[in-house]
Amino acid sequence: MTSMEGVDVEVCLAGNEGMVGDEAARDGGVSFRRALVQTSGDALVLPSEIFRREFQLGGALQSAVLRHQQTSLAQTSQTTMCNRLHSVEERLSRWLLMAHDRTQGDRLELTQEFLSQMLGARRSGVTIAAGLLRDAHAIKYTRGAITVADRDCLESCACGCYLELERLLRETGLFVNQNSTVLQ
Amino acid sequence: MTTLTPAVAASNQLLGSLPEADLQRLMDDMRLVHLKARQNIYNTCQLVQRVYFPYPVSFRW
Repeated sequence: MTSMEGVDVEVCLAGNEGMVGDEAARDGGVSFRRALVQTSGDALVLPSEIFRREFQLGGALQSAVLRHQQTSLAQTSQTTMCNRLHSVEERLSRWLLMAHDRTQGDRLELTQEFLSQMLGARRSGVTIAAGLLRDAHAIKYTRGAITVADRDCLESCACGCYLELERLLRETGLFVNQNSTVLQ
Repeated sequence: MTTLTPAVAASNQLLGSLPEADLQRLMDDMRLVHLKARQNIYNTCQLVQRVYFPYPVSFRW
């Protein structure tokens, strides 16, 4: 979301477990958020009117979208609490794990400037936190990219918010991680 | 570019949870697109004209 001052802060993350644009389920579906592609890749795209028509049939798509909205709300709530209570290092670890779960491979194309926006933290704080994770051999980073080098280590550096979100996603039955070792 | 098949569509877990007949009905109007990092999908207060099912791209709001 973008503040009145023009500062972007991430409030939710979606990958191949879910969708973007579910606001279109309502008549006159106007978004109250901005959606941005984080890492390049492919997506299946459907015109809103087709999606809305199928949603309003009240079948399996409606159930799946409502589950997705429930988990998105939980993620937003957990992220809000996490940003208030936990250190930048813990938040960065959580965020990298969530991003890693939703992409293929270990390499994430990200700049520290972009990460500072996503975490709602100062860039200097993100630089220090990334340095600590690199020194712990959890990640490697080069200009414009971070590679998850040791997922177990990264999980041990994250706050409990990551596991709590994973539990919720598992209970909704909508999400099986591509990279996570937590659920395997 | 990957060809859109039911198996490809089902690689998005939300779509993959749908019964085959429902998924097939949606596929008639679905297409596969490549999205670049930092690409803006829509802005605040904008009418959502298309919905996206990532596979395996990720988004943020």
